[in-house]
Amino acid sequence: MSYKNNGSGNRAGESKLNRRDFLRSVGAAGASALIPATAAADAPATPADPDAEVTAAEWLQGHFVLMSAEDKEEAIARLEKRYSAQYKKKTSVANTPPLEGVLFGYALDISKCIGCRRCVHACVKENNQSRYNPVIQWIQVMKIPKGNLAFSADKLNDGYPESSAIGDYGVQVGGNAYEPVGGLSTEHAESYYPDDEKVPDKSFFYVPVQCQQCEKPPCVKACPVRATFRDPNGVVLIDYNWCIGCRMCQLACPYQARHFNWGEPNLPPEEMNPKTHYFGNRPRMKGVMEKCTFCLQRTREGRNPACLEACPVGARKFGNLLDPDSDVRKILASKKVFRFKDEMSTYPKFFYYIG
Amino acid sequence: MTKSKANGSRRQFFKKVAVAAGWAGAAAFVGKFISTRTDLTEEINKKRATDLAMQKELWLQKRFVPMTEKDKQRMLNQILDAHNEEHT
Repeated sequence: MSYKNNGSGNRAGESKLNRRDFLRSVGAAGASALIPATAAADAPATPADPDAEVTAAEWLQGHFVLMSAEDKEEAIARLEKRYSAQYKKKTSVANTPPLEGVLFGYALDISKCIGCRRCVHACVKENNQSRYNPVIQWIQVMKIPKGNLAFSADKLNDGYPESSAIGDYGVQVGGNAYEPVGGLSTEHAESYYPDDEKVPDKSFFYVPVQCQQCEKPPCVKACPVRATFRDPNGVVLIDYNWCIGCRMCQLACPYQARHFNWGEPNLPPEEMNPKTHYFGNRPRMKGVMEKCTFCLQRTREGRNPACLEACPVGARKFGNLLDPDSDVRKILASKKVFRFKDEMSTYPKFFYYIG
Repeated sequence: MTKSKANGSRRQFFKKVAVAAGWAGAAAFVGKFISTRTDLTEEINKKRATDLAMQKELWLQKRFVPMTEKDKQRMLNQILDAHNEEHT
């Protein structure tokens, strides 16, 4: 082999060939290594466990309500297997049916609420909400200046006409046609005030808001695929596997109580509540809606919602609207209860009152 | 320059171009990959913040008014009627 000396002191043929080949092979190897890396980048940051992946059967399953008993059992088993693998703990997915003869209602005493947000955190913990990127909280606590409350019981019956024999329809009660007698305005309200803020601030009311579980829910009407529906106990539910993520329900909701998973929820395995219900607190996925379900996994077993149990001052009451002796019915009968001024005829079953 | 020498030079040139394009592509890919991962999280949080802002704006416009006994009874009857209508 002869080499031509190119005058630079290098053996032109030998060194150029080796360096070039080396660089070419490194470039090709680097580029080909990036392709599987980017594919893996979108995968969940959990060890590769095939049982933790969504199966084709789960993708292709129908609406849970319309499934046969066998299909429901299979769907539940699939989910239990997936969640147990994904969160490394034995997870149960219940299919407890609705209770007979029950219509759930909720009442909240805004004079008692101190804005501690224990209900918010209890809800997050019970219902497996995303902890970060993004943070999802089904309950939001509005902080409203007390000066916004203009309420006088004396004026309540002013201007009230005598009852008509044919019924009182659309009659302004109290005040005059242009000014309601009073109420609580949410103007200048704050929400999501910092957790470390000292509460209660005596110059504010605290008003937790969550899904109002309307008896005539506009979100249910808006859903093009009937993924969201009202169950026999009056709770508005979502079949997360049937939801297509169009967000029509979110736009339709007059209380903005529905939350969309823009990304894959981030739920640390050690914080996951493994006792779940298919329509309640089982972990959701990217691209589906979620919202308060009155803690379905608890209430269908005769227990109270987590937010009620967490409240340190007893501001929250829950019960059966069909039972005249329930807490909620007694509150409606005896306390000052508020309604929204611009009533959308949704018949919300979440009542705010002053005790 | 003979034909074979010219072909050899052209081949060398194209090889250089291909290697350079490979490196440039790989660098752009890595850059995009890193910025996409960051953007994705930021984008998710931004969209969530927009949802919350919409919720807050909606609730800031709400006004609660006290109900009379008749209002309460009417409301309860409406809820119970709607429920019974659905389940009879």
